[in-house]
Amino acid sequence: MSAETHANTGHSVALDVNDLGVSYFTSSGEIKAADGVSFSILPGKRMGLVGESGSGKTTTALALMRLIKPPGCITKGSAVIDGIDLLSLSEEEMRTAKLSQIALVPQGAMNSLNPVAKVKNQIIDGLRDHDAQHSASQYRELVTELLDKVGLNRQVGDMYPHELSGGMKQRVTIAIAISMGPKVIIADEPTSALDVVVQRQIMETLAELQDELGAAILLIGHDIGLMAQFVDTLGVMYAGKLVETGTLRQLLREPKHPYTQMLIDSLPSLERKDRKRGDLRGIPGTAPSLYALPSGCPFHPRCPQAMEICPSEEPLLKVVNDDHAANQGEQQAACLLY
Amino acid sequence: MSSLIELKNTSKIFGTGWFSRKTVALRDFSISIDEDEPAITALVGESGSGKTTIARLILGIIPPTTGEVLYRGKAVARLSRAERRQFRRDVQVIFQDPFEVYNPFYKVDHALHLPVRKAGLASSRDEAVEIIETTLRQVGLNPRDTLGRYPHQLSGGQRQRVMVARALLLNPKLIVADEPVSMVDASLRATILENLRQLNAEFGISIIYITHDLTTAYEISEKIVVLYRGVVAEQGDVVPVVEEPEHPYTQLLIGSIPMPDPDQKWQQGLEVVSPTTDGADDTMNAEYAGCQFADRCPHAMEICKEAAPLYQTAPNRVVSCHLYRETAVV
Repeated sequence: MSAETHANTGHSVALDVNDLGVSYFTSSGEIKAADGVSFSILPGKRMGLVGESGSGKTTTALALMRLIKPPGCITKGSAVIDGIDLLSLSEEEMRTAKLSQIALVPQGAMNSLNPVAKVKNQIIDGLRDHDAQHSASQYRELVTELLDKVGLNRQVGDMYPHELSGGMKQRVTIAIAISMGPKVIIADEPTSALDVVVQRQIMETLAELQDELGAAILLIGHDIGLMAQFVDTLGVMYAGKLVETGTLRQLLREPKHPYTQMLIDSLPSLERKDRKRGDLRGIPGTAPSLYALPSGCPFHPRCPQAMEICPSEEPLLKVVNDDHAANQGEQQAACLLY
Repeated sequence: MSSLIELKNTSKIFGTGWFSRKTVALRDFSISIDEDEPAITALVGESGSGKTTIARLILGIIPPTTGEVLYRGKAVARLSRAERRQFRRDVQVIFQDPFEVYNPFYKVDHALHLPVRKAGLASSRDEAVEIIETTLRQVGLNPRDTLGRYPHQLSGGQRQRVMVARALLLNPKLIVADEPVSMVDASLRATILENLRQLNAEFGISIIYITHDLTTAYEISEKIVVLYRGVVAEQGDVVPVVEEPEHPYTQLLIGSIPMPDPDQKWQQGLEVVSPTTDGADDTMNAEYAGCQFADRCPHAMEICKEAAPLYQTAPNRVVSCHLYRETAVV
């Protein structure tokens, strides 16, 4: 997925991220939290971004929302929605783009709502901020409509966040995120604090609303099971870089990068039929520190298939499976095996 | 069979003051941890299901409102000083967040030397170091990479394993592991769960594994207790409970696990009744006596306004649901 191919189909891509880089400048030097991240999502499609903590998946999400705070900053790249590069907008322009172009469903709804404001006021705040001039009764109608869309009844508007359960709070954050009909919704582990039943209900609500809006969704997370239920395409991040991308089926059925292979191999057995109960497999070693990344391929110290060349040459994303015949799209991996 | 720890019909009600509303965290719960047959028992449930309350009762951190917590047949509250000391060595805990349990100003050695000193395990410092190093190796850590470091210098997995080592130091009979892998990545999860299983198999330690994740419970435990709003929904051997769940709540839970398989989507036919107000508050109320799951249950009947007793549906299995009222009550 290079920039050139997008130039041809540019109008149909909802979000086009190209060569995104985010660094933190600390006393011990520059830390590249995300480096050269490129991907795109078509309207109405869902992409997942998985990786261990520290792999750069949340950094990527925050960069797209322009929420990277000092000592961090966006060092390079572009993120284009509808011909507008989010990364080059001024603060003021970005403020307008939020909610109307791109919206975030944050992780941990309990910490992202204002504890001393009623739900309806928190929803109205977003609308009002975008110069949507409405009368009080129009706002009330809008709030009721939004709450109804996320499966909450109108009384919830008059409640405070502490009166709501975790699932209901997450629904409120979704209501806020969709209030201006954004083209791209970023969901950063939206259900990691909820139990599986509520998780499923919320993800189904999110999917319905996305269909209605025709928006694209970028789902950040580490639960491959949830990804399998929700996304169309998947990206795997490791040490700040995308190491493999492709359709969900390609990555789950034929992962090419050894890291993806081990990640999928480490899933518990209840979730797979080919494995006996109790056969636990982890990934040996630990994720590298971004302060001291291994040379060459950052995964080589943990890689069972590492070759002599791996510590010296850095692999780039390469097409490893171009299965256009099956209408699958292309699969790319950053590994010297290919 | 001698039981090490036994909870007998324990209930825990919070908020017993004049003005505060009573909340039932746990209702009439019984379990016995046998010393002779160390097993891994999983307590599974969402937040508010009472699983952490059970852990705190077992550890003797909180007293039950009604019922008894027995250590070797004697109420925990009435243990003599010597018995209490033994109780504190026999029952250890591993917490969820392997960072918060450390004092960031001390090296990790401190967390390991303290129990050695308090329990009088070693007569000299050299001996203490030796015991600590042996234990660290037993959980797969290299003492040279671990000792002399501050908590922030260790990875999440290392910190959690140091905690496992710390529990192991005292040679306990029972370890309560409260969500030990919910803060670590998938790749590390397997290693820590393997540690727990090793403690059980090699050292004969019983494990109470508290989790909200059915998949890992299925992976490592022999017995399982599924809790819902302070009540046992279903309890028994893990394989039949997870593979053929009988309680509608267990069925809903298992049907909602997202499988990492593009061809196995969330069961479409699964009925989910979602309460408009997430009714938790009403049913946690001490006065409500019916089945806790009735407001979300697709099979709810008139009789569900009464609490279901535990029906014995198989030799090692009980289900608290009126659907099984034809079978014998425990």
